[in-house]
Amino acid sequence: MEIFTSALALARKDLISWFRSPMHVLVSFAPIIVIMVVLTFTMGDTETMPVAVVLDDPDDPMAQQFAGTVGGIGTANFAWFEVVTTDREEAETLFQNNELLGIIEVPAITGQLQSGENATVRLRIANLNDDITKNFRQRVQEACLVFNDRLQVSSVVPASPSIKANFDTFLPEDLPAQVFFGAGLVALAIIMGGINNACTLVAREFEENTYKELVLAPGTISIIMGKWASALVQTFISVGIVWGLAALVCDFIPQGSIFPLLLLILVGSLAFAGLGTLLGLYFKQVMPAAIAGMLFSIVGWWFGGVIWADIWPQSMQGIIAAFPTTYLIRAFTKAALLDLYTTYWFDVGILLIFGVVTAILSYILLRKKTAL
Amino acid sequence: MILLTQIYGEFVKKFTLWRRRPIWAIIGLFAPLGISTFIIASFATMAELPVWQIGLVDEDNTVQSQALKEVLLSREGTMPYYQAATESWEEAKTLYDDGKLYMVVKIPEGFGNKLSAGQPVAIDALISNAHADQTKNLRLGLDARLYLFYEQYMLPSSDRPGVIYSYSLTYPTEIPRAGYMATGALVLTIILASMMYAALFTALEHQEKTALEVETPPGGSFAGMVGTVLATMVETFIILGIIGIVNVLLWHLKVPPVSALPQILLAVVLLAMIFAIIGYGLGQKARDVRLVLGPTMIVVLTLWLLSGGVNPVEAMAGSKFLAILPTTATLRILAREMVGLETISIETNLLIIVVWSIATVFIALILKIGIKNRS
Repeated sequence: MEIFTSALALARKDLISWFRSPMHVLVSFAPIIVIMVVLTFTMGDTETMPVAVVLDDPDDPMAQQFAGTVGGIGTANFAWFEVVTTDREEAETLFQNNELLGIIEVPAITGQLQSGENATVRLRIANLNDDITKNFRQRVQEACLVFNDRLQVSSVVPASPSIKANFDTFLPEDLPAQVFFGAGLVALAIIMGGINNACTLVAREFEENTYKELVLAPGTISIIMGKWASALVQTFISVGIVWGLAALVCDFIPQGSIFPLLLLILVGSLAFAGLGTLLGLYFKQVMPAAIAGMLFSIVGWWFGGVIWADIWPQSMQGIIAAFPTTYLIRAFTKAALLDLYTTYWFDVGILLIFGVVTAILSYILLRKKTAL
Repeated sequence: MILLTQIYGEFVKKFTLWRRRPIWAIIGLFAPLGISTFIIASFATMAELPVWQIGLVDEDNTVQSQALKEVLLSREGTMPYYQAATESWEEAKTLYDDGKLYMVVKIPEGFGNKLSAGQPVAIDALISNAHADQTKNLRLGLDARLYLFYEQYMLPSSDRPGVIYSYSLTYPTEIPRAGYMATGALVLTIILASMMYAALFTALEHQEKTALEVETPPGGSFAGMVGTVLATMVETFIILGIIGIVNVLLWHLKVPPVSALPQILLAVVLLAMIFAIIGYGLGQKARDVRLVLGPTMIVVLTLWLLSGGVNPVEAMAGSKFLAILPTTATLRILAREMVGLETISIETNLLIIVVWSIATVFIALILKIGIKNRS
């Protein structure tokens, strides 16, 4: 009972001190907000490529149809291409100024197709890097497939052989990338909140020379419990703020029940508070401990919060599996976005094991440090 | 003369402080190196081994469907490539429903007959659309395979015409994304090191109550700022030198020719100066070294991404605005000389950096004079 009382007192003291310094409250989730804004800004609208479509003969009907195809293809969320201009001179100027990623030059193809010849569309690609080249080529390849398929009903030229894929999707509508980022960033808030809140709480005691008073508490367990309880409250608050912003900025609204997500916040916060405690005890200074925690959180989040973790190459799957963050992010994103729980309990189990291991290590390290 | 001596004194003090705090030097070195190497390595790994496990079910089992399967699983053309995890429909569907497979391709019965008869053919694809970017890659990847099949198999075996494409590239060689990103890492290093060190040392003066001693003598405030900025720039150059060598070795960046060194040095010096001044301002405001790192990281990482550190700004929304950032201009100058983006204009980008430098110095002096008058 005494242990609980002192743990509660410690948590209360830490929380009062946390609420009194708004800068510390802000720091616990500010990096996530920056990542959120940057990701939404840079990756939300990067899929549409600015290009020029220039016709050798502007009156050629099939060339016009091809230009229309280029401007019309894409997904429900965004077009593959933004046709900035069809004027050759303007296209050249913009291309030279690096304002276009490419020019699609369409010859007078009606005559060629009518005479039974293949018609070749010419691309000029600003190959700033190989990813742009790949994306450009693939999109034009799709334009060719769509155009050739439409020739089936054309009376102007003979029907071309055609092949296409009929896509049937998992969800009724494509899930925009920013919604996925939103879910991943809430998971990051759990991880970063758990680690950084705990490591700050512990390291500050050493930095401000108050750990001597701390060890007067009736037991090491009560110190750990007090710190974790305080970190848990702080993490719930910062996760709540990030969640609200993710809903506003990224349109992230969970699909399924809220309870599995709340359980993940609870388990995840405590599991990562264990790691934060270890970092705080090891570094004894807020800054290096917080940097180490932030780097760990961001690296872990990168593997599962930017794309689904199992898409990374096989050679990296071992490293990804070694990160406890992988399991939290996977469980959270699957439950929140797909209402899918195929790996949920396995993931929760891994997090619990991780939490128990870090708690034991924290206990041992704290005993060692406070005994000095 | 006295002012110069004061500036020199401040410079030596700040540089000595840096040398005596190895943890700060290590953070300045490993933060940009760690972040950039991690992100570049991730992208490089994705680029080199972009193989997706899919379900590939052939319900037709004809020569034509076999040919299509070969093309679908081939490693020709553009990424991504596909590997068949299963050829059983039931297994593929179960794995797909459990979220363990992202695509199942089914070649329907009658595919070969239709193809032989010259009729339009279609295949069916179950595709996970639980991430727009992945959906795009899956869909375009499959269409790219179908295009290959169309160009290599269908058109030659048909007496009817179709539309195909050819392409040419602006730059003679393909520039690996990792190489482009490595130049972004150099910009990250410059802005992170200069802003962080200037902010840390300025905040330290306040925290250790020595700021007043620096600012009391005539011209002391100005000398304090200039000395801090100069020391920070030298420290940044040391860190940049180390990271530059690592990136040349890791990501095969070109060593710039001697003729290009003046413009590169000018761009780097001015960029370091801009961010050292911003860092100095942050340190004056924060007055506590613990409060410096968060805002620095936020500003630096945001600018790094917005300046094309990962994706070129040409492919980003708001590219016209982003192109006039000093970080973008420096990145472009470095990219021209170190990865071969030869069409980039040195003059325009240098002009952008010079204008930003003048504006920053001007604002810093105005604020300095204003604060001094108030005090």
